[in-house]
This record gives sequence, structure tokens and C-alpha cells, in this order.
Amino acid sequence: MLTTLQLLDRTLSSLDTFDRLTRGVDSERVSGGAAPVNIFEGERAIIVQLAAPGVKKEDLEINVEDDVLTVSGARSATLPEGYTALHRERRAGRFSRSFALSRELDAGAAEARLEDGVLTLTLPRRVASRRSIPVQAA
Amino acid sequence: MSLDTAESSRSLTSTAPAQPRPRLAARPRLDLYEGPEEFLLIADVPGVNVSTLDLQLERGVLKLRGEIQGTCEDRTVSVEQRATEWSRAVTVPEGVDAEGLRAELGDGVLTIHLKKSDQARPRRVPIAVR
Repeated sequence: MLTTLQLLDRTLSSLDTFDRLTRGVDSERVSGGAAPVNIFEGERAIIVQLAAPGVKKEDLEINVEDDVLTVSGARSATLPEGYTALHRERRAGRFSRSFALSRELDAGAAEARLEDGVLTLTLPRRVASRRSIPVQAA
Repeated sequence: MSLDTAESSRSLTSTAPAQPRPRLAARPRLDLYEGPEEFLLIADVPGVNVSTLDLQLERGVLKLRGEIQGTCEDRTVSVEQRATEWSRAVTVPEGVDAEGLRAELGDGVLTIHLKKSDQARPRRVPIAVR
């Protein structure tokens, strides 16, 4: 086994031996948790990326209420038929993340895209508009 | 597409060039299941698609490495997942048919089927009556 360890690229994390993985189900980790989020700022919009592997479009809900954007979703923890769990780390169940939106963002023009288990929300900044107010003579 | 227009408006007004993110590997969470015919290794690798995933079996070690698709925006507001790639190695036990390894990738979830070799499958031992 020493030879195998020497072959491993140092960028790879420590080796999991199969028997260590088979030692038990970590039920704590199976319960739902928040999905990790990265937020980036561009010239035109704020980009919010949320990791939601295995979540289908139908199981995602994105709502805006009172300047709070909430993304929630779920994925089931059911086992494939006829299989037993030897080791579990992946999160299952519901998740929900909320964000306070600044006034400069136009939530009504938000776009959402789900690809490869990542939800990308694009929240455009409001375009400054100029409006002339007509003066009425008394 | 919204991403395209963001790029074009950036080129008109951009100042500093985008900095490449420093390389950082993270271990994907994985589940291991056992069925009568095979083991299932399921890993969460959001942000990875078939073109950026590398899966190799070498000397009894299954190595997975997948590059996470990055964003085009260079100003970061908040980061909870800093990794630029998913990386993990698992030893494959005796009793797995190396030729019978199959993998599927969809919605950021990688499913690896490890078919049990004939000797590993449960089988009845015939008992003769003396």
C-alpha cells in the first residue's frame, strides 16, 4: 500500500480506504443543510451562485418579498431500491438561503439558470433613468 | 443570454484584467451504497461537466478530479466555496470487476458503478447429504 500512496499526486486529498468508508453511516450529515453560496459583483449585475447538486428545476423555488430574495429547494435521501448505505456524506433534504437585496438591484429583472448542479442568479443593477416632470401652470 | 451581455458591457468599461483564481482542491462529499451486483459510489461535484471531469483507475485506486467552471466576474463579494476543483481518491477493494466500472454524470452528481466480480457476489454453497 506504500507504493500506492507514493503514486498519489500531492494535490489529491488523503486517500480514503474502502473499508474506512464502509464502517458506518454518518446519520448527522444526512440531514438537510444550507447550500454554499458565492457572490460576485460585475459592472451590470450581481451574480449569486448556489451549489445544489442533484436538485431538479422543479424542486427549486426562488421568491422575492420585501427586498429579500429566498432560494429554497430539496432533494430526496431515498436509497436506490435494493441497496444499503455503507457510508453517507452527501446532504439531502431541504435547504434555504435568503439574501437582503439592496435598492439598486432590480429583482424584477432577475434571471436564474441551473446547470451541472449550480444555480446562477443574475441580479441586474437598476439602470438610471431620467424622467422629466412636466410643470402645470395654475 | 444574460452572461453574454455582461461580457460585452464589461469590455466597454473594464479597467483591471480578471485575475485567475488560485488553484484549490476540495474533497467532494460522497456516499457509498452496496447492492447485490455492484457498489455505488456517488459524489457531489457541482460545477463539473463531462468535459472537465477526469476519472481514473490506477493500481486499485479510483481517482476523481473535476475542474469547477468559474465565473467571469472578478470582484468577489462573498465566497463560501473557494475550490476550483473537486478531487478525491478511493481504494477499490478486492472483489470489484475493474473492467466493469461505469460512471454517469448529471446535475453535478457523479455516480460510479463498481460491479462485483463473480467471486464477490453472494452465492449459495451446495450442501451434499452424507
